[in-house]
Amino acid sequence: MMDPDCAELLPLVCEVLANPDRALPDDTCLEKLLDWFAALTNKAPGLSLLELNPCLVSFISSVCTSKSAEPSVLAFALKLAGLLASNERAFPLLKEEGIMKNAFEYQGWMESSVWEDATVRSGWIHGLQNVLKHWQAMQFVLENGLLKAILRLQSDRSLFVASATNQLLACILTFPTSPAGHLSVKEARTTERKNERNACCGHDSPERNEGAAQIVEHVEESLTSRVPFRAHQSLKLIALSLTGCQPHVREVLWQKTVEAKEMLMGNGQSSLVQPFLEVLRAAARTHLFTEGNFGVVTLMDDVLCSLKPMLAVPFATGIIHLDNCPQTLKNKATAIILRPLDHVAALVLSQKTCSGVVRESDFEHSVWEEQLSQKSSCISLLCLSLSGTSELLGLESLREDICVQPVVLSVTTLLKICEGGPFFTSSSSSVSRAVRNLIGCSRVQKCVLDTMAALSHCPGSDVYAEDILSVLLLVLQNPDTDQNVFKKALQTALNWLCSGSQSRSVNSFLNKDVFPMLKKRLCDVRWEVRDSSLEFLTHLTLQLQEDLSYCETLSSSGIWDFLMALLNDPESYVRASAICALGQMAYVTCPVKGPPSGSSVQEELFVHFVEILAQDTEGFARRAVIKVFSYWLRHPPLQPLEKMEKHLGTVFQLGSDDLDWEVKVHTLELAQIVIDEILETSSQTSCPYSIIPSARCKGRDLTESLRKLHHLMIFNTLFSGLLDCDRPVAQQACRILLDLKEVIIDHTDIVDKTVVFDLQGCKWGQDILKKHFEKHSITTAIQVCVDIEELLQSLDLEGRQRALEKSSDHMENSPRSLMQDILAAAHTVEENIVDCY
Amino acid sequence: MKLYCLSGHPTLPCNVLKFKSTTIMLDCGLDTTSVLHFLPLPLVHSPRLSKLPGWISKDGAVSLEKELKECAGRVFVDSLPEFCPPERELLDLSTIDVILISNYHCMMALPYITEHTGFTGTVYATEPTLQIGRLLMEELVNFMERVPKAQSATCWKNKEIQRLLPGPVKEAVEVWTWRRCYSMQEVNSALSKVQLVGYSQKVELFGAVQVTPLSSGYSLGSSNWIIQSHYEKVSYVSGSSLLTTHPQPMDQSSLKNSDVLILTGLTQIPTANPDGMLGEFCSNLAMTIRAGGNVLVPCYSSGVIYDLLECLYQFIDSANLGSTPFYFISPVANSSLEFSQIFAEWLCQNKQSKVYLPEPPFPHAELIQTNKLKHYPGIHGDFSNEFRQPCVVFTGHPSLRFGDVVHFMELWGKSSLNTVIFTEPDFSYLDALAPYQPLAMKCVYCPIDTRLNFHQVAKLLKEVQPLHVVCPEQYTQPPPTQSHRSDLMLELQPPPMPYRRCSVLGLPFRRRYERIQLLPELAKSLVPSEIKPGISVATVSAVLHTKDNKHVLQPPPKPAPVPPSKKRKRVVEEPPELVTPKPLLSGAVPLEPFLALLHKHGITEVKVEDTPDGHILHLQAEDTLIQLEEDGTHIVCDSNEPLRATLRDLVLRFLQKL
Repeated sequence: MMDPDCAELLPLVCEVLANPDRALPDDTCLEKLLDWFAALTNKAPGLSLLELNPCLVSFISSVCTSKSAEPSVLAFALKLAGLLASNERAFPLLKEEGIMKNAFEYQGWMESSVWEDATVRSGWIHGLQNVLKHWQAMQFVLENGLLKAILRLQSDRSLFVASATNQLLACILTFPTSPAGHLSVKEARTTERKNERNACCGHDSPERNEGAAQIVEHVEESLTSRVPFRAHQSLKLIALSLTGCQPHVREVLWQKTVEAKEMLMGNGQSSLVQPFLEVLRAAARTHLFTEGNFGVVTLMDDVLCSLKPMLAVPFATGIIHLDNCPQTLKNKATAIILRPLDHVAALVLSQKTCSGVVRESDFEHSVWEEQLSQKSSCISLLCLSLSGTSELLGLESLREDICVQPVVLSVTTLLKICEGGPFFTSSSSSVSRAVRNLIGCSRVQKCVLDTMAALSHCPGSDVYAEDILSVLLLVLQNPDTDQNVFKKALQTALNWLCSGSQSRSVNSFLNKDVFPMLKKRLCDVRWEVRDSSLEFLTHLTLQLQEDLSYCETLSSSGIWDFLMALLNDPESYVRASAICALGQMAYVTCPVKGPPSGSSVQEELFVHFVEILAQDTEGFARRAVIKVFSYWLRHPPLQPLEKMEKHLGTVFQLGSDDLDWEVKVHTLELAQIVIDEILETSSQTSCPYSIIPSARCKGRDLTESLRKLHHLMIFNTLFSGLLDCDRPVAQQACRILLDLKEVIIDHTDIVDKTVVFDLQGCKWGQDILKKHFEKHSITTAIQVCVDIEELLQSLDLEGRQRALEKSSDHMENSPRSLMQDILAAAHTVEENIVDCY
Repeated sequence: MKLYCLSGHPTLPCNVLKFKSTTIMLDCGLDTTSVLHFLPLPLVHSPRLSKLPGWISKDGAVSLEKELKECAGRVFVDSLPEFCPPERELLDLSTIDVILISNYHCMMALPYITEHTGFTGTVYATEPTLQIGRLLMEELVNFMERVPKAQSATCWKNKEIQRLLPGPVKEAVEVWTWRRCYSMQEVNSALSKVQLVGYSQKVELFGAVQVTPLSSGYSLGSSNWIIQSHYEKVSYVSGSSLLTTHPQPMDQSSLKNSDVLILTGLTQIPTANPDGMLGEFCSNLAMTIRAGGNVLVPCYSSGVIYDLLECLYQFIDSANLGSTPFYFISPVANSSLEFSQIFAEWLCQNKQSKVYLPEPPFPHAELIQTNKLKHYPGIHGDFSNEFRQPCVVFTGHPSLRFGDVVHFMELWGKSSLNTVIFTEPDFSYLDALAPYQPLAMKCVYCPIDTRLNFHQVAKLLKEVQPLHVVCPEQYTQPPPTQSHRSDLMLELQPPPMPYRRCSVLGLPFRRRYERIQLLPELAKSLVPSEIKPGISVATVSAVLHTKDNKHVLQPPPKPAPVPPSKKRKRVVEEPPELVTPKPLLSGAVPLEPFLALLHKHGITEVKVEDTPDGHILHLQAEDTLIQLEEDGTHIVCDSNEPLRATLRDLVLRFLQKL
């Protein structure tokens, strides 16, 4: 329902919009208004919107009959009329009022000069599309001869209008025969309506059939018209409607397409090839594909071999995803995808095709070779082939069809060529051309690395790990490697290192090659490279933390000192990544050069990190610190971290006073972990095997826990978070406080619920505690004793949560504000005019 | 026009161009790779080097124990190192008129050319080239002279003996031409012949050609040269760079429209990108220091070191190397660092503008001020008091055969914590390290060569479009170690003309024109007449006067009045007799009007025959032929002179006379 404020403003807005002398601030406000109406029509039952707001009808009527309306307002009125008429009960009323006639009857518009404006034509089409939600609307379209006008607009000079028309035509062709089709769920539930609809619609309705026939006839004409744009539009329409239309219409549309195939495909140069392929793709998702007599499979097969490589590879990539695709077609598609890779391998290794799944005679060699010999097409084609191969490898059903070994050979060779490494014996001109085209090409490198990453998931690929990793090492060691390629190479290496089962060889590789390389890269001039190296180390350690030999290798690698040095890196991203890496490493390993004090590495690091939290000028590093602490608390080490417990209060203090809202949110997450931990500990003392801790806590233990939470400054953190001006912080704090309140209220047996807060320097104290005291008329003091349960109850946390759930701009985005803006803008323009004269 | 190639080293060229009666030497590079065959010269006594065993052939037949020492399976000559100067036998060096120097690395052989050869010409170079070249020469002489070695090994050079020697010494070529280093006196004498030039300054050579240095972007004061006459242009491109480093950027546009472009001095390490190498240098340096080791950078005292220091200036803080001392040790370290700051006009725009701030153009001044960079003339004296480890030392010579670097190699070679980082591309780092084996120290090869690579040069040539390119033969095929890299060679149309040491190339273009000046009074007397729209012609009678390769047309002297005396002068002294020249004819004889004219003069029986060049008219009654062609008319009539004269006059009616 529309709220009263809006209902009050609406007539004024309609008046402003209908007045051609009043200018609008911009078109987007009309779009927003339409969105609002669309939401209302979905919600409002039946007639209510029209009945309660008669101004709408008069607005549409006045605008549609006005000679001087703004095109944008006219388009808005048409779309609005469509929206309102989409309601089955409102439709007859609008028809009676003459609104449908005024708005949508074509003849009237044709004679008007405003029709020249594409906005108006577009509004007309969109209005009709909005209407087409029920059979009455369909009848209106068919009976009033609107279809002819729509078909004419399919080749409108405005691409927007033409495209919208295609959507509308597709909507007509796919209009459901089943009663539940396009109606809202609520309405569809009404049995009465169901019966009504069943009576008037159905696929044997003669108007409907005639309408479909009219469209099909138009499509056929367009396809054979030799006017490329018309054919293009009709092909698009077929692609749009093929899956949703009735089987007999589908078959006819397919028939027409196949008949025009020669003309559409031309010699492969035609601009219609792309939309034709769209139709093929759509057909492959219908019964035409599985039923042999329509020849979809054969056609796809033919097309696949005759297409230009740049089109063939993406088309083949589409085919491999098809359900129920015959194996031969799939094989051919696979061969097409792998062909450029085969070509490179064959060039360099003087071998014939590697995939070997398809007869060579099926291809037009010269075309492929020509494309692969030119730099730009060679690079694009290889990238397409590589991304297609990655997809192939991602499909479990297809993995068995591909022989992994040649793919590995091709991608490793390709990467070596890009690196400019020595790798072959042949010195033919085509090889030298390939080398010239590909050396240092980071686009191909990135695609190769993606494919390599996909290869790591293939069963049985373990045996190639050594080959792949050695090539990856080339890339990682090359000082000229682009930083993005470097990052990707590290990610790929991570995939292979973590997927392998031979930990011994992995460790020796890490020790001998990877760690020395990483040490150098951690000193790289480019911060991106240092950062990626740190991220790699973090992920690697996370993945292999269970592997004892890895932890030993890491401990003895000497990398620890490099990471410690990076804590002072000038780039804050790098510092943050170094913190994460050290946090992860400290968790699994003891460095050889341990700190002298005798306390654990993790504890020493904790103290260092707290300093960073207090001193680092950039948010990234501080966020990382809190995240590492959260990780450590979630995964506690064998020995308790005494120092950490001692300093946790400082962490919360620093975290909640931070200027960066993300640091605050992470601090609250850390608080949540600590709260869970403390409450769980108190529950375990009563029942060690309980999985629902809070319910069974003993009052005394809970009292102790509350003290501990207070001691760790967690209440301070939560209250200060609750009042934070950043919504995510306040939301998080509110959620935690609500949970805490529930726990406290549930336990009536808590011995002591009082907490002593120090009001000095306490920013939130003014707002929260003072309010609480006023209620209880306690005098102001520096230290106050508060009953925490009472305090939590006095805060109206639930209300606060509701308020916070609304986005901060909900006021600005409300329809009321929108309408006020429109009114204000109209007013301002008027004032300006006065000012000018 | 001929080109004599006296050096086979592509980046240390020495070519002589004979062009329009001038003999111009282009660069004077000294190939110092020969020193790699010698033992290092230690500054302090090295027990290790002195204990190396002498070499005796396997069968014991040849023993050169005193001259040759064995170290880690290789043989080294135990003598003062020698260099391979440019070829001296190919042409008489005293005939050289001028020497054009393109950068300070390419002038190191100057004393070998200008001294004791009868050379009397001039050397042209820019000021930074001269000053820094002088520093490098001084440094070289200093390195050699401070470790005198009495012994001079010559027996091993005997062809018969050299044939029996092992390894690289056996393959060394031209060993008889190798020479010891020159003296300071010779350096001073050679450099006194240098005349300074500025970029784009035009220098006339004997009125015949004009030479102009252009900025080449490679080093301070480095230049390419244009050698041109009025109608011919030869460009000489030596070490050039398109990268944004400290020198003024390269002037490419002035190289356009050359008849011949001599291309030398491309990057020696085409596979190493300078940016990547600079990054590699920094990360290896930081890695070593972090692990507690020392870094040794064998380098020249000028050039890339300025860029290295600038890069480190930015890197030191980011890599927390603020407390690590950086030492620059060279007899000319101080001068090099100071000189670099005063050549403001030769620097890139960015650095030039700093001079007005006022700020030193190079940040190494700040490094010195803040005591992060310290420089010393040698390892003795102050340095030994201040020396603190771990540290970074920049010192020469990059061949590791002489200079302070030898000491550090001996000092740090035993620890795997230390690293030697090679940044100069002139020497193979493996060969440089050979006499120090076995070596525990880590070695990193980061050659930084900012000179043009093949990709850049292909682009440059496409832009400037020379008719012919001449280059060292090394550039016409991929490097021998990377034969698959077809991208690392010059592929041009027409193919470049390759040269090697001792080649003599006839440059493939002919001089067709010479400019002649017309004196104003003679010009005034000309009466041009238009023969075609826009083209006028006049005949001229004058005396051609040639002096200093300049040609002037002067009005002919007026005939002297007949002398009153009866005494006749000698015939040869008489001015040439002036004969009025016959008029020059132009135009064409149109067939139809000509036939009409013949008819009018009673010649009616004319048979016309078309030929590829014109027409043949057969005057049947007169039995005469008139051959009308585009550029000539022939009248063939037997001994009928009156008829011929008539016909000639008729033809002349249609032609213009000048």
